[in-house]
Amino acid sequence: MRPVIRTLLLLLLCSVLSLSPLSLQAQPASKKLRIVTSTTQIADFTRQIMGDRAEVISVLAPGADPHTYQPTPDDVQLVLRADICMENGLHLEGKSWMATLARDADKPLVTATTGLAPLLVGEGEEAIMDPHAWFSPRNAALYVNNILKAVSGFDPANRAEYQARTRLFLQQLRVLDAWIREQVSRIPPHRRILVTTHDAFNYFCREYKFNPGNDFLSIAPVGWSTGAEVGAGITPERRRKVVQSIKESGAPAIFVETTINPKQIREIAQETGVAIGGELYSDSMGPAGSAGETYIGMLRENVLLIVNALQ
Amino acid sequence: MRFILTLLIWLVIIGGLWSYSRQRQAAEAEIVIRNPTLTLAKEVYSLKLTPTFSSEADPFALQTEDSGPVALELRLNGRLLPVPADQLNRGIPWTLEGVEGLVMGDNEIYLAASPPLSEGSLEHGMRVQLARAGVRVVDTTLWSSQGSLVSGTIHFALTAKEESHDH
Repeated sequence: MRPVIRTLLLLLLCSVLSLSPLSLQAQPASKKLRIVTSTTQIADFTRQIMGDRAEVISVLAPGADPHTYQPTPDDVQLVLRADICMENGLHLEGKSWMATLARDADKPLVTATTGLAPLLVGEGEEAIMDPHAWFSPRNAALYVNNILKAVSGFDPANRAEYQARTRLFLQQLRVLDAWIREQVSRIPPHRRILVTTHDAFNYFCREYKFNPGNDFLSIAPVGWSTGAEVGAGITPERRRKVVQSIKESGAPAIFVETTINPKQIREIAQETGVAIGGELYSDSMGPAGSAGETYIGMLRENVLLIVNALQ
Repeated sequence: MRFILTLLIWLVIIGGLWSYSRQRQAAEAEIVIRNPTLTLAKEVYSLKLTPTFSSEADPFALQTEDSGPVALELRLNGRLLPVPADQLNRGIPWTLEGVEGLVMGDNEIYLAASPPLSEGSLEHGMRVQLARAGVRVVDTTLWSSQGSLVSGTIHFALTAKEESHDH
C-alpha cells in the first residue's frame, strides 16, 4: 500500500472514532478529591459526607495506635498527592505527626475538633485536654459539621450534595445516641463501672453516666496516651488505684482495647478475680468487613459488649 | 483512482455521522419541558403547630456558613417557611397566619423538629393544623420514636370548589 493511502486511511479511522456516537455522548469525568485523614474515624465521617466525590484514605490502618504512630515514607507520598488533610487534633496524633506531614507537603489541614470544649484529664499544671472526643456522638456531630464546612469551602459547587448527606448522617448519630441511652439504661447505675486499658472513654463515661465514683470519668491503668507524653503511660500509682476501684465497686468485668496490648488488663483481671468483658474498639475502628468498620458500628458493638458484661 | 475512492468513502462516512448528530440535536430540541401552571390559593390560611416538647439547641443539627443549628424545619411546597425555633413550648400552639405559597391542587408540607435529647426515650409528636377561615383543611400529628426527629410529609389538595364553598 502506498504511504499516501495508508496515511489517509489512518486519518479516516481517527476521524470516525472521534465523531462516533459514543464519543458524542461522553461526559468529562469530574476529578475526585483526594482526602487523607489521620484516623479511621475521621475517614468514615468524611466518606459519609463526600460519598463517591472523594477518595478518602486513612493514614492509620484499622487497629493502629495514633499516639505512638511513626509516619512512613509511603505516608509522605500519600499526603503529597492529597488535596486536603484532616486530623483529630488535641494531640491525639503523637508529636503532631499529621500536622507535620501536611505542613511538609504544603497541604491544607483541617482539625476536626475545632470548637470543641474538651474534657480536662489530670490535675493542675499536668491537666491534659482529652483528645478522644468522638466517643460521644454529639461530639461526633461537631466533627462532621467541621468537616462539612471544610469540604464545602474547597468544593462549593457540590455543597448542597454534601449538606444533604451530612443531614442524613447527623440523624443517624442522633438515633445512635438515643439507642445507646436506652441500652445503657439496662445496667443498674451502681453497676456502670467501665474499666478499660487506657483513658480513652472519658467522653463516653461522662455522656452515659459510667463510673459515678470517679466523677464520671474512665478508669484505666494507662493514662490518656500510650506514648511518652505528660500524664500518659502506666504508673504504679495508677495501677493501684484501678485495682482498688475494681475491688470497691464490685465491677463484674473489665475490658481490653483493640489498639493496645491486653497484657496489663489481663493481669489486673487475674489479680482482682473479675472477668474480661471483651475487646472494645477505642482509638481505631475495626478492619473492613468487621462489625466495627464504621463509626456507628464501632460504638454499637462496644455498647453491646459493655451492656452484656455489666447488666 | 484509489486515492479518489478513499476520499469519497471518507466523505460519505463523515457526512453520515454529521447528518446523524444534527438530526439527534434537532430531536432533542423538540422536547419542550413545560412547567405546569400553578394557581395560588386566594383565601387566607393559618398553620398551627402544637408540639409535645419544648425546643432546645440540637447538637445533631446541620450547621452551615449560612445558618446555625435549626430545631425546626418547615417547608411548604419545597419552600422554607419562617419558624421561631426558640418559641416552641410543650403543649402551646404556635400559629403562622397568612401562609404564603399554597396552590390550588396538590400541596405538600414537610416538617422536621428535634425533641430534647434528654427525652429520647419518650415518643414525641407535633400536631399540624392548616385552616381556612376557621375551617380545618389539614389536621395530622407526626410522631417520633427512639430519639429520632419528629418528621414527616403531609400531602393535601386544595380545590377551587372548596374555596368558593366558604362564601
